[in-house]
Amino acid sequence: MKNRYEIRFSGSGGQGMITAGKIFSLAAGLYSGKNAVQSQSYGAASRGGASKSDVIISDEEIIYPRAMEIDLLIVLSGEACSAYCSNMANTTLIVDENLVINVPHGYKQLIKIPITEMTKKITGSTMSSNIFSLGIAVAISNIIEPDTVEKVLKDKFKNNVLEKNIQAFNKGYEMGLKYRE
Amino acid sequence: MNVKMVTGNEAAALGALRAGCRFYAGYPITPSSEIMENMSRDLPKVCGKFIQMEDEIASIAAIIGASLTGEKSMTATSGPGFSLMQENLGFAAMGEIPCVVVNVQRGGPSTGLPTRVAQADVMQARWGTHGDHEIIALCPSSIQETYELIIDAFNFSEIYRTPVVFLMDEALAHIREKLVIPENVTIIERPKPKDGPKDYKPFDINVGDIPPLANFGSGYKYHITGLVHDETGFPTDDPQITTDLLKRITTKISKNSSKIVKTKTFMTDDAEILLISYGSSVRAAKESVLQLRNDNIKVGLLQLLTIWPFPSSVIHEISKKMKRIYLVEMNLGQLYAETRIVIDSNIPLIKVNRIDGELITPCEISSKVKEG
Repeated sequence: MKNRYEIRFSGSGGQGMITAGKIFSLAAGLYSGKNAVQSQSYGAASRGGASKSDVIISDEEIIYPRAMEIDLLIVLSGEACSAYCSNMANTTLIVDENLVINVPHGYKQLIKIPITEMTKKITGSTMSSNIFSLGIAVAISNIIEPDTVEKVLKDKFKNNVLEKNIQAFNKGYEMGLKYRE
Repeated sequence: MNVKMVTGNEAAALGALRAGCRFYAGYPITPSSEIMENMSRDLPKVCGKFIQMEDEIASIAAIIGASLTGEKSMTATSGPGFSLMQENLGFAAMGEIPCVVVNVQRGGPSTGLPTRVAQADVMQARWGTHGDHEIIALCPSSIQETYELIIDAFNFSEIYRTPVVFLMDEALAHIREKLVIPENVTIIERPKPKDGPKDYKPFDINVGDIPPLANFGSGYKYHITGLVHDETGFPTDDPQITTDLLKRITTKISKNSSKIVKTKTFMTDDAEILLISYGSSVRAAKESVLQLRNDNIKVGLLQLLTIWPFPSSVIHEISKKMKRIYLVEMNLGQLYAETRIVIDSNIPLIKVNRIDGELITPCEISSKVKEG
């Protein structure tokens, strides 16, 4: 992997993208022997509004804790797209094609996936769309093994929710593999 | 090895518990609330007490009271709550009552920017409460430092019988990174008075500059007041006693500043240009040093972990061999004057500031340095 890999999970408040970033960082930091820093940005509202979670992964010490050049950006809402899609010449952009209508130009690679729709088809609800997105990110970034994420999911969720999240994660991972460079 | 991935706020709570904190009173406020949340969950497990108070004035009053019973005590807040705490912070300084007050700084003044970062309460920590007093204020820049430094905060408060301000900021409070829980840490316990309840005087300078504090509820009866007081703790306006008291409660900290001041250096050995920074700004400054070194600019970093007492001697010493010095802060330059007076007047000191609620970036610092 390159020295510093940056991933941004973004969407509307309530879609769980901050949780997705957190899980990625735990899998990398606790179970993959990597250094990881996760941060988030949100407004004063607990629902709605653009929100993002940045994850930086490195084998070396991570000094500056904020994203400087994003490698992989996942966007689940139009609002988040307007807020966070800029300076993307080196970025792989993944959008939910049903939720993000106006996709910006100038990215390195664009991948359109109906993330929420597919999540609903697999699990019966859109709740796990963040974990589906996480699966895509784990596959495309190719930094950590999927079983490390499963460990974190098992630490964090139980019963039915765990089962649905694992389903969504596996499907997202499978989807992401198709686009791995 | 015990490794966790935690936020700055979680690390502060974990460190406080490790230091022996067994009483927390507070009122939640962004961006400090997770400290309170963690303490409410974890304190009862170690037989500690947690109370959600009606406001920040009551919160600091409660931890002062708890400390007088012998419990290590803490509260956490942000700028608006820290403003409300100033009166009782002075009471703790005058009554010489150990306690730790965490201020997770956000944008201000007033309610300002609740979810954004700033470092603009640095001077408030020093002079927010009225009257001649000294204060100890510590300022971590990483999750690991937060855990380790808050233990120092408790230790200093017990050693010097004084309130200690633990200055964090929103960026640090909410990033999540690795914490390696150290196996061994030094924990200072409060010294007990040698005198029995009958002969005990809470401010008896015959036993030293920092007389031991007896626990309320253990048979000792004494008086604590915010008024100028004599050795018994009862009020007086005697000019000599007043002078002696104020000199003692200030010099007990100032004369020990070399033991309290903590700093770190990064690539300063051959440096001709120095960055000085503290808190989460350090993260940008350190990255900037690496960027500038790539361009063969001989730059180094001095990190201040202790802000108060101000690390004057350390800064003076390291400044001597520098051609230029940059002071990096997320405020309008609050530590500029303090820094200016300790370095020779022929060495330029340049401010690098950011105040818009975003974390200062390495590029901003690097381009300022390249401007000359």
